[in-house]
Amino acid sequence: MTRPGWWRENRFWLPAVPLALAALLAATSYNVRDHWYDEGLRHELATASPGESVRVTDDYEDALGETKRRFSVRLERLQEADTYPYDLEDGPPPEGTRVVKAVLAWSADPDQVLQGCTVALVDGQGRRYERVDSFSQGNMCVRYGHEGPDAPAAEGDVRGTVEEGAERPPTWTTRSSFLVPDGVRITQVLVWWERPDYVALSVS
Amino acid sequence: MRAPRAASTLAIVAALAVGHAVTNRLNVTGLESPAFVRSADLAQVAHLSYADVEVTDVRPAQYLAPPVSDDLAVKAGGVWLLVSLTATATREPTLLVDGRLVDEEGRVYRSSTRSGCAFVTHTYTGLPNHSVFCFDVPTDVLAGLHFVIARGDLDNARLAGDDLAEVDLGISRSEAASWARTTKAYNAESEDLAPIELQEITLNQVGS
Repeated sequence: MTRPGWWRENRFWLPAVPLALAALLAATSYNVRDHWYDEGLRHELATASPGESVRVTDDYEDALGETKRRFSVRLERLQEADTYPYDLEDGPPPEGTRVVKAVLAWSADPDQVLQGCTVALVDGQGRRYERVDSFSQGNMCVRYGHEGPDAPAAEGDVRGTVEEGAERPPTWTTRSSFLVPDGVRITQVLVWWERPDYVALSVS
Repeated sequence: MRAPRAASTLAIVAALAVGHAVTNRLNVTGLESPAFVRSADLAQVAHLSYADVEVTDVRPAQYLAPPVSDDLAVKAGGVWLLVSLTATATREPTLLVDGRLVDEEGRVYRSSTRSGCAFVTHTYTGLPNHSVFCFDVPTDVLAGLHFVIARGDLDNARLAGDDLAEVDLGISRSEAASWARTTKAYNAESEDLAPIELQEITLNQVGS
């Protein structure tokens, strides 16, 4: 098999081997995007230093097709609180935990769809803390009663339509509460709608 | 020239045979790929890559009273087994979607949807969450039951290669015999951030 001339004889096919292997890998990794990449927070859309406002353009798809949401957000401060807003009523945090509130200042055009976002805290070791109740996670980026437009649900709906009375002011502030174990130092606030895209706001 | 050509032909046939064996004889599609099983005993923490899981208590019951107090208590077809779980996410909030029992014969029992107990449990980062899974199991399979739970769906390939907790509930044969005859009744519980104290209750007969 190692007779002289074998390499020369196959000089055109040998370079194709790594290409064929690459094509094989690509063809068998078609699930990586759906089952891994898109399931996590992997694409940082924008980041802001403490107290700095960041302008964000987030590409996404709704019932009418591809579109964008544009907004500005700034982490005003993190503050401690005595009670946590559980589903049914406010109450003290469980033993060994404390309540941290993320105060975010927002601005956006009134026709931008900003409902349905998630806000989370991240500590120095990359651990992520989200709200622990199940009912009030939907609208963490807009104020109750002033949510602005709903995302269109079906063809024929008009994007940016606001229900009467739900108009959003040009600037507003949200306060989201989190339960965090004692001794944990929060370093980032994350905001996202559809994974893998997210906005990172540094705390310090 | 003839010998090398014969060798090449043999090599190709051998490669085809190996390929055929790999694709047809071996389970390489993922459905049968085993999870990484993290074994633990009762009151012992199983460290998964995404959560710490501990079965803190297991007890039998004949009746479960539903969360809404006006509803009638639910009697087990076999015996209710109440499995109390404490779970804490290690990196990010994770839903543990499925808790099941496996008996000594490898038969699987899903948590009962008519029990009023938990059928999924949320885990929060660094924050222990407590839940109770209730299973209606035949009275003759109690000894040697294991509780399994994972973040992936136990029915499909998404569990393949992921961590799974398997907890030996430590039910002995003598215990199983007495548990099978239990007449106790408890309030059904689902999940809570506060530790759940199971409440034994007395049932009142209604109607006639």
